[in-house]
Amino acid sequence: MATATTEPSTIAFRAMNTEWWITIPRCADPSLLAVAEATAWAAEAAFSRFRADSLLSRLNRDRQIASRSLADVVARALALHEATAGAFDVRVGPAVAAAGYDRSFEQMVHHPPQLQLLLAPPVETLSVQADREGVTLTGIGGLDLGGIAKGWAIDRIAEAVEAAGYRDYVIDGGGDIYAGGRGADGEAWPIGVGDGLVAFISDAAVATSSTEKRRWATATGEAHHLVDPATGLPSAAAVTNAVVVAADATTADALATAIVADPARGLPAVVALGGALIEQDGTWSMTRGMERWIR
Amino acid sequence: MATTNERRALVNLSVVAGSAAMFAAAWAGIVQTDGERYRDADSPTTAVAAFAPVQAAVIPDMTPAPASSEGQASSQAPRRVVVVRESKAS
Repeated sequence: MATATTEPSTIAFRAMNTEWWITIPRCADPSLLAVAEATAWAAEAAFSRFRADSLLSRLNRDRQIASRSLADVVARALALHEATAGAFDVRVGPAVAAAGYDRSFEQMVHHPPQLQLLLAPPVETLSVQADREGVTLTGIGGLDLGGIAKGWAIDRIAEAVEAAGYRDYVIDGGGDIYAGGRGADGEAWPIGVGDGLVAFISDAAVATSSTEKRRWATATGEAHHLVDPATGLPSAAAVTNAVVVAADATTADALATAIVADPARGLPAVVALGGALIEQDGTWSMTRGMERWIR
Repeated sequence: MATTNERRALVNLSVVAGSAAMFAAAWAGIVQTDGERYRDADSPTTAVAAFAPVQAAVIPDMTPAPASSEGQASSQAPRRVVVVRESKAS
C-alpha cells in the first residue's frame, strides 16, 4: 500500500483501481486520513468482482451472503434502478464480462482482443433481494457494482469526516467527488467538469461517466464498459459523457452511469435528484437547474 | 414411496431444471424476458418480482451549456478560477 502525503491535511493514494485524493483543511488528526484510506481499501476488498474473496464474488458464487455493507449498496442500487426506470442495473455483470471486461482493467493491456462480443443472459433472468442483513440472488446471472461502489465508499468516508467534526473537505475518488462545506476563501469548492466548465459544489457530489474511458478492441470494433441493460451490449447511445451533480456520491455515480447507458431513461431521473451536463454528438447541454452549480 | 430427502432432492432438481430451461428458452428466443413484455398467452407470470417494470421515459428539456471558462477568457473578461479537482471518468 503506497501512500503519498502531500501536506498534513491531504492524502493521495490508489484504491479501487483509481487515484484518490482527500483534503481536510485544518485537520489535525492524521488518523482520520488513515481511516479514509482504509475505508476505500475495504470497499475494494468487499465490492471488487475481480477478487475471488470479495463479498461480491462470494455472493455471485454462493447466491446468498450475510453482509450489512453489501446489503446497503445493493439496496441503494435497487432504489436507483427504480428511480431510473431500469437504466441503472447492477445485473449487467455477465454482460460487462461478455463484452470483454472480465479482469481488472490494467490487466486488459495484455488481454487479447475478443474474437467477438459474447452473449450474456438477459438481466431479467436474475432476481435480487436485499434486506438489512444480506443479499440473495435467484436465477441466472450476477452483479457488477462498478457503477455505484465508488460513490458509496466516498459517502462512507464523508460520514466519517463529518462525525469527526470537520465540515469543509473534498473527497475525490478517481474523478467522482464529494465536496463538503466551503474552501479557504469561504466559497463553494470549484470543480472542473465537462469541457472546461467549473461547477461550484458545496455539500454535494459530482460524478462523470464516459464511453471514452475503459475501452478495448474487439474483432467487431471497440467496446466499452457502460452496458445498456436493455440490450446487454455496450451502450450505443449518442451521449458519450455525462456529468451529474446530486446530494450524495452514490446517487451521482449511479445516475452518471445510467445516463450514458440509456439516456432516455436515465436523464428524467436527474431532474428529480440533481442536474446533468451531457455531451451528445460533440455538443454539450444540460438539464434545467444545472445552472445552480455551473457559473 | 419417496422419502422426505428424496422429495426434497426432486424439488431442488426441478427448480434447477426449470431455471435452465427458461435460460435456454430465452436464448433461443422462445420466450421474451424483458420486463413488461414477459407475458405468455397461457401464463401471466412475470419473471422478476424485485425489480420494477420499465416505465415510459420522458426526456427532460435540455439547454445549451454555457461557454467554457476557456472560451470566456478569450471572448469576454478573463475569469480565472483555479479548480480544486477535476471530475472525470475513471
